[in-house]
Amino acid sequence: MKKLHRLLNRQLRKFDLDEETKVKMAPLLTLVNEAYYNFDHDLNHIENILERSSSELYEANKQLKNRVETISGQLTKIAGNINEVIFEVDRKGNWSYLNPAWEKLTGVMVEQTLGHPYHKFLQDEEGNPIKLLIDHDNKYGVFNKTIKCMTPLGVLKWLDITSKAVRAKNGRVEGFIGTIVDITNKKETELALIQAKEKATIANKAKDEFLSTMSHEIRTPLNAVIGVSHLLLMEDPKEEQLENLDALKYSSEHLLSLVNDILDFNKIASGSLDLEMADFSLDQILNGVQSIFTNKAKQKNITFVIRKHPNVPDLLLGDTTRLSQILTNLVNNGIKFTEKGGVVLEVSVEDDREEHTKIKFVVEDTGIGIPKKKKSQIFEPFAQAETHTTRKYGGTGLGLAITKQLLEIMGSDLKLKSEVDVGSIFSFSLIFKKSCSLPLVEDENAPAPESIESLSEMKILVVDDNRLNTMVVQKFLTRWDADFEIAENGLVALKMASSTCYDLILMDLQMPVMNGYEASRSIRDTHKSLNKDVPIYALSASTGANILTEIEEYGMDGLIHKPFNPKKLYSILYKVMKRKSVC
Amino acid sequence: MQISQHKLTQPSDSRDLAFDFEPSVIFLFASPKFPEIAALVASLREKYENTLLFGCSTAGEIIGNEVADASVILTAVTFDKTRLKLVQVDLTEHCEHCADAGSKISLQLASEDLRHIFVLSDGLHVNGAELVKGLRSQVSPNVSITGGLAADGEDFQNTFVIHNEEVSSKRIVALGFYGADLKVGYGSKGGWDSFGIERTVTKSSNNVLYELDGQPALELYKSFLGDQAKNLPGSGLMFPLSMRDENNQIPVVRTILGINEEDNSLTFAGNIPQGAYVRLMKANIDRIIDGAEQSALITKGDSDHHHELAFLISCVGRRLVMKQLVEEEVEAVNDVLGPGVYTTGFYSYGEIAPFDKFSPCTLHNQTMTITTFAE
Repeated sequence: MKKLHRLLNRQLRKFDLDEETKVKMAPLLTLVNEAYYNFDHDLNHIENILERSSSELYEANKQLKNRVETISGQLTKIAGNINEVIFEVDRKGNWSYLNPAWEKLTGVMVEQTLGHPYHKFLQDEEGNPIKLLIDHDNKYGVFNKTIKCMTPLGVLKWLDITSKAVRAKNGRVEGFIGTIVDITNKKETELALIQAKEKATIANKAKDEFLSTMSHEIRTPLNAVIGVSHLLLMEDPKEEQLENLDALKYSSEHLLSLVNDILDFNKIASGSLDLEMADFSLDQILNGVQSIFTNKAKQKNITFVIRKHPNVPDLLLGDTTRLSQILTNLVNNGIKFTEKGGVVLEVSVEDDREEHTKIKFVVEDTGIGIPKKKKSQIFEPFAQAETHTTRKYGGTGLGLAITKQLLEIMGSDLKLKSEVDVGSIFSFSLIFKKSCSLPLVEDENAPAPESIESLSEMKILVVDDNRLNTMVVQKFLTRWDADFEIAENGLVALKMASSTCYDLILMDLQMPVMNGYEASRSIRDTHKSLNKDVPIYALSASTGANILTEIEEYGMDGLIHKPFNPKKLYSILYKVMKRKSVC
Repeated sequence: MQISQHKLTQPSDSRDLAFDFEPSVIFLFASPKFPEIAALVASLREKYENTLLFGCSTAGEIIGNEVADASVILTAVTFDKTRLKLVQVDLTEHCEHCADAGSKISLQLASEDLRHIFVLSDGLHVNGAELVKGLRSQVSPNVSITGGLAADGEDFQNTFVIHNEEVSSKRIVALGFYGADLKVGYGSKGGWDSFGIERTVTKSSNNVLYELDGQPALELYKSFLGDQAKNLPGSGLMFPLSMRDENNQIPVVRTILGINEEDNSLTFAGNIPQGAYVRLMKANIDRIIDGAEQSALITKGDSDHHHELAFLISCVGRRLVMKQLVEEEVEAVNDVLGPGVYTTGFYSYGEIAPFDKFSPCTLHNQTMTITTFAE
């Protein structure tokens, strides 16, 4: 028999069996002995597995703990060094975690805060606890709010608070995590900026008003200067006077365009330029441009041609003033910088839809051209390609800048192709709504009759408080044999209109006692007025964008800009007279 | 030194007792199942009125190579040169005062020629670790301290100590040994292995453990015990804890003394400080026996003197593991100590001794703790 297992050995010893029994039991004991050894063997095997698994587990756990320690060390370092407060609130609403930024924000130690209710440390301006930090009912997860808080040290701060519920797998809210960011500096800067902007807006408004007033004030005497120079030129001046008068006329007109440009530029820069939406005739605009520049071109011995494609519609909806300004600027530039050849204005349809049409305008000259590197510069305000250009050709240098910016406001872009000594091509496209009604404003640029007919059939009331202006108008009317009376303000005009029947009233708008608008309305509204239906034309130096709408509202029939071109004035008077005779 | 040993299996056995010397002390290791133990002690006291009676209840009594049950092992000893002093201190309800009890004992025993304190304590109402702290506080580090906690089989119901004619619970008894001629040997070793991951004590109070890694400690125990869970706290002996904190570089072993289902806590024989690291332990019979042998080798050390009397205090947990093989560890110890030594002792609820002669005395669990005397 194999050596007895220690347990069996011990068990046998306890019983002290006699030899006979031992022999008898030998086969059984052999089996039991074998079984004990087998149990031991199995046990050792399992023990070994347990040992190995256990030591593996122990090592893995140790590594894991080290990694957790490393990571939590890093996180602690990060959380400890950022400026924002990171917090955790437990289900009962007590602080359970705060990073050191909390101490910086509130002046309260983190240890003194933890375990206390979340609303204990932050109060609103009245000292009520702020309870919106956590929101049990928030189903959308994240909650964010900017609030003004009082810290325990009594400092008012703007805080940006974000919090989010932490949910267990079963959806139950276990607590909240979030951040508190001190945005006091940002908020104060923001408020300061708003204040600064308000101040700037007030300052800008004052500037706009100043410029608008100034331009009106300048235009009024200019009106007289231009008018007088026209008058003198009509009175058969002597040869040597003619040169001086031409210079006077040219300079005053130039001054006027300068004032207009600066005013426009300011309007664009301050964003106060409003586009007008009115029916207009493109043909009328083009005719006007043609009439302005044909003579100019002739004087320079160059050609000026307008090529309008036959499919371009005539009646459109848009800002006629601005469109003619753009075209005038570009054509004027072309003629100004061209010594040989000529300038062509080409108008074509780029895209035609049922309601809209996209029209392309191209102004091409054979002038001095623009060097490549100056191409972007010429659109800058007060810039021309070369400094000597200003001396040679004059101008404010605002024309192109205004043109470009106007087009941008209208949703278009001014394109330029140019080659030095060959010429320049400026082009742009504009989308217009098609219109079917005739424009309200009489065409100021309509060609005046070649010969001056006497206006002796007309009786005209001129209303203007400026004596110089009335003098100029007076001179022209006298020249044209028209019968006229003068009223120095709206109230006087109203009185006169109630007793005398006139064929036309020329009405200044800004006057003391009663302005032109009120006067016009009263004349139209007064039952006993003899002039209920008399044509009333505004005669004004005002440049407001909505002046056309206003004069329509007050029952006036048209607008003549001051300073006026005598030819234009005549053509309107002539037309009124003709209409009267037809009636 | 003269020694006489007897195993009493029934009260009447004491009538025939006779020694051929006048014993200075009789050591009594008594099973709580032995009938009328108080009467036995009283009759011994009557018979040997100049002899000190010193002992406690057990979970198994050791005599020679034998582990007995339901008996009283009696060892009568007369020292030739060594003086003895027997003292006792009552335990109050609260374990916090265990250190006070310990220091009271050492104060009563303190003397310049005090060599050794042998201490036996109630096994259920004591915080052994605190007791040891108190014992050590009042005596020179040269005074060695060993002993154990009385046991009540696997029942954890009632333990007692014997002080002359008195047999009582909630008491600590100690025997002081005086004189330069006494040679004391001691050693303590378990042989248990840690397994699984190291867990952190996250909630505890003195010797009551509530949470490990934030989880209720009792639940963890139950999950490892499986079917045996219903036999707690007895079956908890199968899974002692190996504990280390910054002060205990060598991990100490802690065994369960009781459980509390209400607050999910476990009560241990010694403190389980919060923040300490613990691992569960398991036993392997061979390694436990090896542990006992190691303990004997430590006790023997490099001394070549003859050991006359040996006290083996071994943990009840070891007995539960070894079952019928329990005597193997006693034999292993006796084999090392050599022939001619009188061996006695008991299976305990806790052992008190230094690990070896270089370390301070501490409370142990699950060890074979040996103390030897010679003159």
